[in-house]
Amino acid sequence: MTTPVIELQGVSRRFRGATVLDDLQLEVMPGVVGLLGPNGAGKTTLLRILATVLGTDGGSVRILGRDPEDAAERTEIRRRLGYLPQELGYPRGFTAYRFVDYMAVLKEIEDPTVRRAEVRRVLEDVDLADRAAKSIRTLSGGQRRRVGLAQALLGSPELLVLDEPTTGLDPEQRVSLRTVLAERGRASTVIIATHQTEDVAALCEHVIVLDRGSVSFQGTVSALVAEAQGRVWLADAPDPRAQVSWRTATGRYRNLGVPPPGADLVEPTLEDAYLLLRGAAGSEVEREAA
Amino acid sequence: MNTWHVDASTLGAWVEGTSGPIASASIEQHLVQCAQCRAAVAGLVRIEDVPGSWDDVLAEVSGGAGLVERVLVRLGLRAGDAVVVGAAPVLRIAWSAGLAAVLGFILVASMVGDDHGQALFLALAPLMPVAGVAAAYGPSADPSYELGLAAPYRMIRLVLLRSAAVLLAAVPITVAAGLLLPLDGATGVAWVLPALAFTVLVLGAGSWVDPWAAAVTVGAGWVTAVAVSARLGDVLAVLAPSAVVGYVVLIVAGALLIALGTPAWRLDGQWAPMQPGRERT
Repeated sequence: MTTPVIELQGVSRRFRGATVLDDLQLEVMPGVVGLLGPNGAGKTTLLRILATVLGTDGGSVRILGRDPEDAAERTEIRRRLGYLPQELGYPRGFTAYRFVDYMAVLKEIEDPTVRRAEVRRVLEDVDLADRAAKSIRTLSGGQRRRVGLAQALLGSPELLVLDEPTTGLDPEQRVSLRTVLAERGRASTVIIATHQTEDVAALCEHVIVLDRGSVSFQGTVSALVAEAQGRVWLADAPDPRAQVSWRTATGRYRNLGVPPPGADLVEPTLEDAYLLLRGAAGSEVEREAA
Repeated sequence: MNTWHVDASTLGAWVEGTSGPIASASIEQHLVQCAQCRAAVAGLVRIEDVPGSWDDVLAEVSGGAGLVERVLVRLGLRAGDAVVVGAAPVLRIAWSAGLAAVLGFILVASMVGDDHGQALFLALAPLMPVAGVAAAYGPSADPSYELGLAAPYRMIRLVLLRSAAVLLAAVPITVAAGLLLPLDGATGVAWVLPALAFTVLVLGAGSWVDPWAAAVTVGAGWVTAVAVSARLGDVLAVLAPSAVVGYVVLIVAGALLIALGTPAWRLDGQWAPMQPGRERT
């Protein structure tokens, strides 16, 4: 039986009086896991707890079989962790190489020969070897994001925690990154918070959907998509009864929920399933309010 | 066309890096135009060494080590620790800021007269290293601070290394400024004790609050004390024996605070220990 890489039981976290995570129960198995949810759902807070930079207000957390509340075990987790925060600044005047080299030192890669080889390797992984000598200030937004990714890949960590890794990347770069992360997912656990459902569909075996600090879905991507089977329709007009409806490039309307008159049933995508899940949550709120 | 070729032993020395600068330059000039000698070199280079050499070249041309780092390594610091110290933005401006302060002290002292110049020096000199230390780490000073928190490198080591580097940069320059000014008695160097006390206190308080907040609080208190002393006609009262005892007490208190905890803030600046009193890595 496979042991969970991450186990959260009853985890809560508050910020300035607002509950961001509420009695969160979570088990993450090895592989590539997508973390979806609207803004304010608690994705970043959850990832910061998993990255050991933020404590909890209640509940228990185990990461890689260790307790992050314990200082020695927290250090052991950090030795096996790669982390890309949502917002990352860089020291002024640093080149891409120097920044990754600095992070390699913080990750205890002390031998200069080993460090140089590792810095080169991760910069090649994110297609930045030819930009290594450039000041980060002169790089594009996507290139800066890749510098952040490069440092997360240092030391081939057992657990990669990535908050919006594809932000600012062009389509080719996103495909390239997916390849890198899929490869990494064979040997380690990769958790990716994103708004891009297509990234999750293309990369992840499992998906977690957070909504207002709680898990509203956890399972395989195919299981989430299956929940939308028979509920996605193409029609010539938007249906007011649909949970979500929008005009597609063909001029027809994609309606999620009940079938509009004369509509054609189509195969759902992960985005459809996610929107239906979100719509269901919204309806539930309305019912509760009533 | 070449009529001569480099002999094998000379080529071997060049490959090993022991041929000396003049011979090396000559060999390299020759290799550019001699395919036979290039082929001979290829046979002398161990293929397993090539990736390492390339890594060295990449590091060299990619801004691997800055001036501060090279100096620190020459002073005996481990290369990795030198990288950590060199990454603190404040250290790249510490020397220029220190020199500017020296000129500023001299200029202002000459303009406002001895008494006021002395009070001004006393008010500002101890705060220079304090400000430098506060700017050397923490969420306000380090844009990649959160990444450092998530790394296994011990935060207390980072903080103390950078603080030591700041003190080494700021104190000698400020002492030099004090010695150049027409100050009473040992004022030119006596400020070092409160400076040390405030620095240790800010480091200790940094376990619970942002170091900038601690530095501003300490600075405001010190400037007030100097201003009141000056107003009462005895600016040197802040360096009196009774005050010296107070600085020693502050040093001890700050050291205790450092021993009790190490800095860890959230990015939004609020103290968020994993558990009270246990954020020690």
